[in-house]
Amino acid sequence: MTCGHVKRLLSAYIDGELSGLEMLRIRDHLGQCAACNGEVEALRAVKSLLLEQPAVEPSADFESRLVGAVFASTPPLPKKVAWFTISLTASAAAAIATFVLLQVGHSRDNAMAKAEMQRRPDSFSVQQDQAMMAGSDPLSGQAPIVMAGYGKR
Amino acid sequence: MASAKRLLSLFLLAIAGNAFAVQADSAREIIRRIVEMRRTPPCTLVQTQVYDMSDGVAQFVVEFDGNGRSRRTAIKPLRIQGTISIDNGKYWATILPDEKRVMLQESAMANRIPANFRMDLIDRNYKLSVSRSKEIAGRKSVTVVALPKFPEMPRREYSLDAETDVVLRVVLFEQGAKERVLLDTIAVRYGSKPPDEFFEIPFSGGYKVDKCPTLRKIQSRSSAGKAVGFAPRTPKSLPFGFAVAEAHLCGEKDAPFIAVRISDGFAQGTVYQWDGKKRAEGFPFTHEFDVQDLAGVRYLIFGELPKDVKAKLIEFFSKFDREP
Repeated sequence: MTCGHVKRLLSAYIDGELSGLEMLRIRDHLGQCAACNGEVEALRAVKSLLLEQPAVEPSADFESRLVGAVFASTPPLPKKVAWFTISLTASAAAAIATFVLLQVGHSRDNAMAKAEMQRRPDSFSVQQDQAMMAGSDPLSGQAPIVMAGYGKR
Repeated sequence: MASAKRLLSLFLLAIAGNAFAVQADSAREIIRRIVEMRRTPPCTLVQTQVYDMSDGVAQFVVEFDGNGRSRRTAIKPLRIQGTISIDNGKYWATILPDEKRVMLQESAMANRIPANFRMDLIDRNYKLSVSRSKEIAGRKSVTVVALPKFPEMPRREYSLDAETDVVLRVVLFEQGAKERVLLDTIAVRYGSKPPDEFFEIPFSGGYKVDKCPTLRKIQSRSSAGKAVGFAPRTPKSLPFGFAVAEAHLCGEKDAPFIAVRISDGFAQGTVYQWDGKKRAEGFPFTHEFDVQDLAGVRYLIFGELPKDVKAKLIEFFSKFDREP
């Protein structure tokens, strides 16, 4: 696992939202990489600062004021403006290009995920076994649950 | 006068000793009831628990029907939200509603380590006491403290509902580390029995059922050895007061592996053993943790155990080559 991979997953790692395998891999990497370790500590500090902030309650009329403000600030559409047509065409082209790029990236990600899953079908046997062991022990404290979307199903 | 004082102090000491013995007995009795998995009354709990062999914490709604059946629905994190697991005493099913898929295994209750075996190990390895009761999720609780005789092992605290014995909180205190809450309870509701349909496994209704291979209890090392291609290692005694509870032959027929269950009474672990030459590289994980290799046979340990303890246990397994 490279530093790039790890940094992308650090936020989810801190929130405990990764699979066991990913958590283990990242923990292992953090044990060896001072840079990523610094990053995780900084991220933890930011998250804990954010958590300390009191939740802001919107006033009762917030929604109606917001909607009113949005309508009031929307300018009426000009009837015939050449630059508008140009910018609309450019925007559409950019949107199509972004969509195509995202699709390419997405299908590459899917292919990588599929290859990864095929490479480690047995990880799932171990995961199922461990979940079963957690379920067999009322004192384990661990949840007997098998992760969806992880390994052979 | 001096002898009267001595007599008085002996008397006080005897009272204190007796009180400690009574407290330890009561702590032991509480733990025995839990280990024996006596029936949980009908109830619904919202709990947070560590899951999936990691530091990740998930939140669940857990329901018991009072007849030994349980159902657990994941609320968060998002990646497991909606996943349901049902144990009806015969089967344990993981249901993925979005995919209309059921993963079916033998009930976890059928594979628990015998209570007497665990209690003997607990007596040997831990000193038990009951600490002050506190309130958890609005319920009065009793906390049993398990102090390990081996300082390498963590101290454990189990908080149970004082009336029903339902486990409400489990905390580990490892030396030199922060306390680790494995399980905590946010809300509890007793009284209303969840409907029967809650505990029914959807074998129909468009669900695809994947049946997982059954665990086969290893009766003889030689027959298990034939299946996996090496003699499984099941040492009788282990460091830190651990012992082998039982061993299973697991996995598909064409890719079997051994799972040796170990325990010190409270902590449980599994030592997986497989033929590194026969299996695809990277089994069970592409990145290996706590793995030892000896003459092609690989050993991997899993369990809620301190890192150093894991390392010593796995080393012991890999170096052990004589069965008594």
